[in-house]
Amino acid sequence: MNENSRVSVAGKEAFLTSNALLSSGSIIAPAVVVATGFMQSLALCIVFSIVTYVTIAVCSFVPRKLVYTVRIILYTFVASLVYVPVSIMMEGIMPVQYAALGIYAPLLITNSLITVKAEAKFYRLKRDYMLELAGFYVFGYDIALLFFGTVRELLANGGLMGSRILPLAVPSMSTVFGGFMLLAVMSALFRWIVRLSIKRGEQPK
Amino acid sequence: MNLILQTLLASLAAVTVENVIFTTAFGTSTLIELTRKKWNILSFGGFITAFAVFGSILSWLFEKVMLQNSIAQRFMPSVYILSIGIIYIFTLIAIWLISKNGFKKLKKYVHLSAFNCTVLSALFNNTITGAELPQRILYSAQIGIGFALAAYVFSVNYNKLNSEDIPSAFSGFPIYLLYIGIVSMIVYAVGF
Repeated sequence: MNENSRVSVAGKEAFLTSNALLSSGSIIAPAVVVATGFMQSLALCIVFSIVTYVTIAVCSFVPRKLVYTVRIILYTFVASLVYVPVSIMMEGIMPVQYAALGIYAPLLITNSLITVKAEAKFYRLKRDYMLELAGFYVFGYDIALLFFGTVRELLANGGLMGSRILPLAVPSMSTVFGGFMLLAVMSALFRWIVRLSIKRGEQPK
Repeated sequence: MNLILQTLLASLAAVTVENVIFTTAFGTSTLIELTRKKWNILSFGGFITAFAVFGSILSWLFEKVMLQNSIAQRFMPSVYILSIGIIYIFTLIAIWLISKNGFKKLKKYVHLSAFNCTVLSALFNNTITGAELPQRILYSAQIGIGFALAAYVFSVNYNKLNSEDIPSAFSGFPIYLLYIGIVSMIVYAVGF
């Protein structure tokens, strides 16, 4: 497989067919509860991306000879250490949005990309490809989360960043049940679009 | 007797009205995964409860030292991980010593229940509230039992959620989320 097609396959998998948020349903809690607007989603994306990617990259050096139990403890322990400088950085650059994340930010240290996907998928691949794929997975989640947060803010407030765009607002969209329902509808729409595009791609020209 | 009854009623209310899944969404991904695999809810809920309770006790011991220093405070998540990690290893060893067959059957539950945000959230919230040890144990137990209850509520309608009447785009993950959302709305209305 050449470099371009390899990147294309990895990107397709991470962004579309196995998107962590919209297809696989991983790391739902922070999305449903605290991603109520664009800025909160952005803060969540920054914490998630750095903690997850750095942890996956560092832990790829953990010897496979170690028993599974010890490896998992090490992965989450490394994530908890990576979280410390990230939290200091976030307090400096986005203090309000970071505070709004509450305990959902540190809870990202046990997200399923670190505790499940790393073992089941990433660490079975060659390191350079694994780093590419993990980057795509993280970025795929970020894009989906930012989109979700933006749509939610639009629906809940009738606009974005204080400006009014829609004639009416649905404030319950910012509640936990509103988050669950919106994520369900967005996930269904996303899957329908992905399936449609795959079907069209398979049709003979 | 009256105090015991009051505690029991308060715990029941906490498990249902303040249910961890339906009000905070902690462990939703784990819940969906658990039901998909048709794993035993009781075993899994038991392990979640045990990890939350014993993890809280262990982290409470470290907390007294860690919270005295502002730099050390930042490393509390690492303390939680180590606390859960110690219990994780001891649980596996204990099951292995008791029964080799039991170990084969139960190890998957132990692996999935140890490091997930339901257990970790119990430890975090206990530190935030600064409650005494008995309250911490009670709260952690409520979180674990609440998770098992949510898993039960989800599993009773699992066949309906996977019926052919569900539009293909909604089948699987989206319909599960929609269902959890509706139950969450009911819990919200009851608690309001």
